[in-house]
Amino acid sequence: MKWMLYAIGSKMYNETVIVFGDNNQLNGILTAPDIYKSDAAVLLLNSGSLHRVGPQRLYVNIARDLGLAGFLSLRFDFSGLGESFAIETNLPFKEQLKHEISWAMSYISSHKNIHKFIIIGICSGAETAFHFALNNPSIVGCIPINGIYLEGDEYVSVIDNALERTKVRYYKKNALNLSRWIKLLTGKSKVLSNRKLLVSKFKHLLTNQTSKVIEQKSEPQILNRHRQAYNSKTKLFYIICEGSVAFDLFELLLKDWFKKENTSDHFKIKILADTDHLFTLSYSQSILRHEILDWMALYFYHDSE
Amino acid sequence: MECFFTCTTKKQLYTAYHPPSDNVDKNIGIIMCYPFGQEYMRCHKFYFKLAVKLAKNGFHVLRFDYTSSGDSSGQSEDFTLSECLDDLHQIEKDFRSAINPEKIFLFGVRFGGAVSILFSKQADINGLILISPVCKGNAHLAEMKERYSNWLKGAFVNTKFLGKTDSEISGYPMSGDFLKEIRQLDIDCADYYRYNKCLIIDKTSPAFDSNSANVKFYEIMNDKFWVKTEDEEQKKSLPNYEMDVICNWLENV
Repeated sequence: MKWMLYAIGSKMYNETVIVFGDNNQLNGILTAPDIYKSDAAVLLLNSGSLHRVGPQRLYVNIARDLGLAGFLSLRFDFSGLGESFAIETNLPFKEQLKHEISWAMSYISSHKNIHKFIIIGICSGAETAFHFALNNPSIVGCIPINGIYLEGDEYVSVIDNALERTKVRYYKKNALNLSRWIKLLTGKSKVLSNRKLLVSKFKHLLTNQTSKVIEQKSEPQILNRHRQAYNSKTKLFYIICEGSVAFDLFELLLKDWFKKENTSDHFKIKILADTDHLFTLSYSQSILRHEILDWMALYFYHDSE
Repeated sequence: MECFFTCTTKKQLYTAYHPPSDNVDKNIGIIMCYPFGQEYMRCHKFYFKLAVKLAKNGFHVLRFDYTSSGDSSGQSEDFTLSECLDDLHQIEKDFRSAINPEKIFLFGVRFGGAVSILFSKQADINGLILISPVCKGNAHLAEMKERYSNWLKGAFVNTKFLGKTDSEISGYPMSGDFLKEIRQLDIDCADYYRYNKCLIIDKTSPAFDSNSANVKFYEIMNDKFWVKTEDEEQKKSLPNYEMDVICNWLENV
């Protein structure tokens, strides 16, 4: 096709559509700053099945913030999501994701001569980012946001308890909110569909009990992975929202260890109050954008470049 | 599929062109107009899959993001209906000059349906494919607000940070100009009649002459597939029935 192309008015960054990977089946938007202020590039990974614009266009705004600050970033869709075609492969799903992240890095290395990367993801994107960062020396920074990090039996053994804790926290927080009680009592709340859960919630509210602590026969595997991350050179910035089940999993499995070990400056954790799992409200999006920029500026911004 | 930015001096629109498959070219173009806000997110996969399927059937299909939405330039708070119509005008002009299709159809779900109807009054469009088009702006606004308000009651957010309730719906800011445009939106169903061809998939049939060969109505099966849900299965599902209806109807146009 022939398309009319004009120069865009002066901006501090440029956005380009790129295709890469096997048979160019992956599609992404590269946001390049006019003046580079870092020798590391940022990769934004899909949040669940949402395409690369992110929830409420959050990834677009983060990429543009970074562009204005002098960082190059790539937000792309994994195969089968958003604008990328599915790839036929015999590889396990998670292995395929690792390949696709590597292709994104190779593209940036060969076209922009950047060989260090910071990887950001929300929800499942956080887990993918975290696991990829563990075994890849090119990843110098990682911001996993509301990651769960559990799989298999470990996930099954703890997720119900964590979800219940989330709901109990919700009702405690809103015990004095009339409109939310009306929603509950008029049968519009999902809680009523599970009477057993409802009874347990009232019990928790009345007795101020905390949720039962799961019995751990041995140290959870999840700790090993975080310890491995702690011992690596990758800088990590965990962000967890109060409204996410990730908060409860953190409380149940990791909080004590973090308290004990968190003495290193390359290992930061931030709990965001009054924010839901996908940063729905504009104010929570703005908090997240500032947190990311501040952390990036602290470790990866080089004014002399 | 070819993806690029359609550029003017002020903006760049993310555009995806799906050429017809190698063995069949019907020389008919279809421009897809997205819904607004959260509904855009929910419909994206459906649009992509439908575009791929139509291209396989021999159509030239074009998807694009309006200014201030998706991958296009602009801040979300600057989104307006008039800008959407300007964008569609630019896209349609470029599409004609690049492909020169014999006919052009517009496709739109919800707000995308409204954009399609309004634009078809200004341009030489051969037909419309509409899924639950927004005809009454006030009703659309009320529905979105109610859904959002219900969500807020069950969410871990502090409503004191919300500001004016009208200024944001489900995390998508709405400017005063856009709100005004939406409130003024009032499309008479009779507007459907004058088009050459029109396929409407909705919950209830609009009042049209049932003898009219131009207008075809189908009842929607996957009602509200554009609504955000916490149900994981529903998140993954696609409105396949509606996709088939559209493909079959286009084959017979």
